[in-house]
Amino acid sequence: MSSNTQEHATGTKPVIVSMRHVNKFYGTHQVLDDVCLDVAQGEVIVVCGPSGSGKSTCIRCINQLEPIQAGEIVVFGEPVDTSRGSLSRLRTKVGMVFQQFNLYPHKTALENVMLAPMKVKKLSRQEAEVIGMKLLTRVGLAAKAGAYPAFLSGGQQQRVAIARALAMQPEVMLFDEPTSALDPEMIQEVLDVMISLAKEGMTMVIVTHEMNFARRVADRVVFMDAGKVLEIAPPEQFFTAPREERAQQFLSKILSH
Amino acid sequence: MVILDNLRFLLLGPFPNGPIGGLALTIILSLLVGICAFCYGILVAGLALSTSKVISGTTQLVTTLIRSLPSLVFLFWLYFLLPALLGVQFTPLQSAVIALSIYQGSFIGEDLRSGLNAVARGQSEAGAATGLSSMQIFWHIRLPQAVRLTIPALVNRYINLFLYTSTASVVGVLEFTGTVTLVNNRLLVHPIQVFGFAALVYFLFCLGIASVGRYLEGRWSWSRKITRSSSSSA
Repeated sequence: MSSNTQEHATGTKPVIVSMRHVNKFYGTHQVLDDVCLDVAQGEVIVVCGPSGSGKSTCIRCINQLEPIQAGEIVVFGEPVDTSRGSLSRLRTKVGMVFQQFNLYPHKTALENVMLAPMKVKKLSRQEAEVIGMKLLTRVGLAAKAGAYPAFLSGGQQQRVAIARALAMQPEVMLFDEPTSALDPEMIQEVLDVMISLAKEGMTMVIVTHEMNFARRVADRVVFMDAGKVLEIAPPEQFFTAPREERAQQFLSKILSH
Repeated sequence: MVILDNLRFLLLGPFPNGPIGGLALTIILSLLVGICAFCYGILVAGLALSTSKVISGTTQLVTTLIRSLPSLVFLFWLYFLLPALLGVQFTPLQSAVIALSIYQGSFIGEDLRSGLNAVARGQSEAGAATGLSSMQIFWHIRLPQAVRLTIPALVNRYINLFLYTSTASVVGVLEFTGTVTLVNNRLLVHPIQVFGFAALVYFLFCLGIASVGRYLEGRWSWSRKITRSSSSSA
């Protein structure tokens, strides 16, 4: 791995997510090629790149929604393996927000947020409700607690999804293109919630095409193409003077509109 | 009128001079079988979707075998053959409940399995990402949605289930078809009225089942209903 593409986290915060030489295949097609990434506590990492570059796959490997064929992923010092107990422990510490929201349509917004705390952490209904209402208030949707997802706008659904992920009090939040399925007017309300989370010190790994957002919030930008991590750099450096040619091509296309 | 003369017998069987029968027994039987078959169906659907090839393969095989028999043959098998094989004898009523529950349950299980397959994969992923176990995801997230998706097929099933409780009369259970046939055998000259009445009763109940199905479909649709705004301007 050439030294000019890997920039290590500065500061003394501990590394809580570490991907080491991760390789992943779908059959014979290689989706992740020797991916190495360290995420320190409190860091906000933005992963970007052309479609098919493996960025979504990359973060889905962190909470084992996708298995890997080679390499190692270490979260909070524990290597991620597929035994049921450790997987459940891992997933209570790592929260995820999906591009398609994936809210449970047969439950209200509040019930969506309450389900995991009640079933995984075995909280009582009242305790879960208190947590649920607190989080819905935080994302600005206390008034919609009793609404079913079908009656919420896309931006509202995604904010409920963020509240649902936060209900388990994770220490790392993964975002898989959280605003890609939203109408433009609704993107900002979701980004605002994510910015406030970042300000509070949440460790976040975000796959997104929102470059202005990345400039504002990211501590480091990771550029991926064809399954490889090509460049990791702070946003000021990445957006003004990217080193890799492929990164330059990508930015020129994506920043032109 | 010949129906009115025999109404008590048709509706209640020999009760109170004997065990309950007639239409009342058909209803009781249908309710019992309806619940047991549904539980059996959930079990079958869950096992058929297991990641273990052995479990899912065996379940599929058993379900296919049961579904390829006429329900009457399965009932006979349970009532006549099982005592010879295992030495356990069920009463006609027990045989009917067990056989019909397993038989209808196999079909319900297949319907539920298709419903479960239709639930978006993202639902399981969202549940898994918050730490829910596979059992919890199955029970709280996928099954409720699968049932909702499967209601039209389940209505079909339950109509079939209600009608086929009549096969129990062949092993001696005196439910509605049993009492109707008895009355006709005694009277002999009024088959149109007797069987016409039977058909009417079955039809009304099936209409009821279909209506319940439509009501549940509406109530559980979770999607915006298109309503006419009273203040809309043309």
